[in-house]
Amino acid sequence: MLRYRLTRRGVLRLGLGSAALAFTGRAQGETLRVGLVDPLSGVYAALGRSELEGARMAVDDVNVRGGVLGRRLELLAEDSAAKTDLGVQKLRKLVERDRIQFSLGEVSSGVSLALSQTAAEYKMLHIVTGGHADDITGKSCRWNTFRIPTNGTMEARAIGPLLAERFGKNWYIITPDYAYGWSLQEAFTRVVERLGGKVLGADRVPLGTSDYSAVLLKAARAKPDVLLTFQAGDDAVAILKQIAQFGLDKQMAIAGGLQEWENIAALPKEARMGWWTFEWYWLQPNVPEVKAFVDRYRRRYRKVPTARSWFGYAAIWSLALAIQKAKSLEAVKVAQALEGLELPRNVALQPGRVYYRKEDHQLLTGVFVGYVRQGQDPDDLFEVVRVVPGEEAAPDPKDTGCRIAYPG
Amino acid sequence: MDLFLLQLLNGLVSGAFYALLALGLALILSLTRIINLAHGGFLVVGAYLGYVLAGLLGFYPALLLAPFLLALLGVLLEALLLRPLYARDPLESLLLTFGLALVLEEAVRALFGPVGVPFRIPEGLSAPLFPGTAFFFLTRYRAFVLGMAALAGLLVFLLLRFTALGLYLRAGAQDREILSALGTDVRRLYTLAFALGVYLAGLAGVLAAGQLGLSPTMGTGLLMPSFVALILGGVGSLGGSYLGGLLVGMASGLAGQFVAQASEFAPYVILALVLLLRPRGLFGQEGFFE
Amino acid sequence: MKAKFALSLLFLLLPWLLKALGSYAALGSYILVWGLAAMGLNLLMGYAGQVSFGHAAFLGLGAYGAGLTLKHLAPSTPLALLLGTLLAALAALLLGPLVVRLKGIYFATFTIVFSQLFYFLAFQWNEVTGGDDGLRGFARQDLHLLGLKVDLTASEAYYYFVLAVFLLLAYLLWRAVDSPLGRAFLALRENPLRARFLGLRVERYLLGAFVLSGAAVGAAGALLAMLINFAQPSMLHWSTSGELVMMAFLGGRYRFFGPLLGAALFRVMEELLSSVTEEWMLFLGTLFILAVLFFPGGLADFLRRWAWNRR
Repeated sequence: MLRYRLTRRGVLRLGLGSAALAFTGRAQGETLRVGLVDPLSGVYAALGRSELEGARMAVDDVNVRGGVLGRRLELLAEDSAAKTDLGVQKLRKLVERDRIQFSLGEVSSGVSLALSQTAAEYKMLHIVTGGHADDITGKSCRWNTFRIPTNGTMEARAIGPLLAERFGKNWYIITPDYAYGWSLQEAFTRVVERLGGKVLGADRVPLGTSDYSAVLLKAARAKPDVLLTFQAGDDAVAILKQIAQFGLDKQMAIAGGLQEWENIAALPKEARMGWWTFEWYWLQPNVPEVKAFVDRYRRRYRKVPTARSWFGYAAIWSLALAIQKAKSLEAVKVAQALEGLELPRNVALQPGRVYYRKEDHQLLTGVFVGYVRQGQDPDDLFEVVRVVPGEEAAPDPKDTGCRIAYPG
Repeated sequence: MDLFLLQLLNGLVSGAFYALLALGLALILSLTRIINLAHGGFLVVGAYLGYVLAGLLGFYPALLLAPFLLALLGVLLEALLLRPLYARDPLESLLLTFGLALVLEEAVRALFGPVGVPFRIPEGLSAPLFPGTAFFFLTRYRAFVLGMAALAGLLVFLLLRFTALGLYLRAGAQDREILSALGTDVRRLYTLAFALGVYLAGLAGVLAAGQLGLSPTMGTGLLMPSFVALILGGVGSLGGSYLGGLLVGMASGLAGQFVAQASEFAPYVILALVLLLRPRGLFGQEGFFE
Repeated sequence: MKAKFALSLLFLLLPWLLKALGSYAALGSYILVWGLAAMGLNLLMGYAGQVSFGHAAFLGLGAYGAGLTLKHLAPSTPLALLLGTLLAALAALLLGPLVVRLKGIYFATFTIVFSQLFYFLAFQWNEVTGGDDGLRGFARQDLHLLGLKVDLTASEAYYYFVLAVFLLLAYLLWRAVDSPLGRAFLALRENPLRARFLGLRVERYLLGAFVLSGAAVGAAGALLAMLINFAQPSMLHWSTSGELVMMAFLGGRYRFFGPLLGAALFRVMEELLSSVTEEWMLFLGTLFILAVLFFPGGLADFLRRWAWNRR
């Protein structure tokens, strides 16, 4: 079982760690248990696993430095398969059977929202390590919930101006037909209209569509400067392949919002194109701490860390730092310590100031804007043109619709 | 006007897949009376088989070989799993094919991972057929798909019409009890029909891989419209199923022109209308299931 | 008799038993909920002999009905349960006349159609259902019984509520099955043509079976929504219907409590296997195929024969 494997390895490292610490004389008290609910099987498994791997590395790092408030950190992971009822059940299991004190998760926004609500029922702090929906730090924000990844509005505000400047202000939007897709459409429309541009047309395509020729036809006829596509996963593979097949990338700029390393790697070479936002990238020659982290990760897992890995890593560290700052394990006190907490450079692993905003609990992390191309290293798939600071990309807290209320 | 025409042609290409699948389903259904819910699963296995073979032998040999190998697998599974159920409640064979569909999809997922795998089509086929014109979307590959589907349909037609084997198959489809009474081993016919149906699914699979990309779930998206085609064309009519596939494809394409979401809805709406107004479809036999 | 006593004891003490076995209390509620849903489906499948791949629609309607009630109407658990069930029953009543005119493959495909239509509705109607992210912002409320307040928030407490509702609905289903109505269903399953010749209004009885099973599955859906305090579109997807069919079949569709066994088997295996391997569905699917081939009576039938042979 997953949990069993984790604790065995954790114990091994604990053994090494405590041997090292025996010299410093720091005591190892009882453990601090953190739960992670993520899809470890199914379509999103690659993303969930990256989050888990990053988190595991952070747990070891924290324990080597003496743990948190003298306690050893322990990570327990459960598979949600990106299904809400499973995810909630697993969280309940982690709380009731395994007695976790803090929780993390999930790749899917829907499940993240459910986990956030369930954790609140237990008055437990929850850090969202993967959901991108605006609502999580918007209408559905909660005192107990903090979010690390960017949201749709941040992505639009980060890449929009660059696209308008480089390619033009006439855009065409193709988006998946559900709430997340609609919110991205809205965010990008607002951005381009504020810049004096126009959305020539927008098509909402059902999830799971494999044939995009109809919408691509319409888009081509509209002759936009930029074609925006917000499809994800297999849908992204399909639409990008077909864009390449029709040669549309030669007629207009192809761009979108969030893109992930795992997705690009799954694309055939001819479909690797476009301007996107990443939430973190492993090749940052200007930030020395990043290389050390990447080398360690590569040695341990034999692949490059992705943004997802960083989410898991930053989540564990955020918890550890906040608990240390609050000098308490009480959820409310830790939450208040997290507000405004700035991540040190060796955790943020990017330029600029990265901190949790008090008003909506969104981590103001940088948005890496760039385009897909093959670099020298076979894993280098993305050219970062600009890291837009979180403060610049994030919407005004007044516009998010978030009202945080602590329990009385 | 030409956007309309383009969407129609587009839909025809999707329709080609539905037609191949529906024809296969109809062949199996007519002879064995089994509703093969695993047809989509066979398509996926066929597609991945094609992927593996293409890596070893190239695209065209894979296209030729994969459906054959898949048909062999079909024969094996038919003998092992379906034959014991011919004598039993038809509900059980339906459930079996349902379980088989799951197993086939999961097996593929276990071997190749849950995320799609990239599939390369030959350079010669990826270029547009009429570059620079309004028909730029009609790549050579899409034309190739149309051509292959037409060829397959024609060959099946010729087989059924002009060969002795075809005669037996048609007779079996019409009245298997009498045929059996006349001394033919209908069980062999069942196996043959199943193999042929699965062959068509495999062909559709390899073609779909090139067009839509490979993923373990590619079967389910194509299966539902194919069932609609089967019922639209008329249960019991092989030609009807093939035609139904083309019609469903075109209808979805046209619907998608007006409202992008509608293209997914369209098959279900068609199905609902058919079931409520004329359940036997366009060319079907009345009382097929009595 | 001893077996029945042991079984009753098992169910009464299930939360503690589960915890002792290293599991968690809510799993018990989860099993009961899906057991009820599978038994509801079985009214149609095992007794009236029609396969439906659309019953997830009723599960979802029950879940969303309960959730919406709690969110917008009144903070009352019993009311949520009632309205969720009624919503599902109403849908069954409206769709029923269309559905029962069809048989065999047509029936099965139509069930998939309406199931998908409801799925699309739940997915797209963002303002009401929360769309893909699901319906949230509600929670099961305390019960107010005869002046006493029963707090249902704890998993153990909710388990007993679910158990009580389950027993009540199981009793009602049993009364339906063990009556002339039930006999009529059996006649439909065994030989619809003959039933018709005997004067049975086949469509009428099928409609009855359809509505009853829809209501039962709807009740299960309402209980499920209140178990996780969440409702989502995937509850309505035809693959969920497929799971119900598998549960009913694996457990034993010829025995009244067979589907409950099937649900327990399915969920426990899911729980155990998903931690060990990603491909647990592969094992379950293979198990299902083997069951169809060699154990068409399901686990319940197998156990019965084994117990019989041991005498």
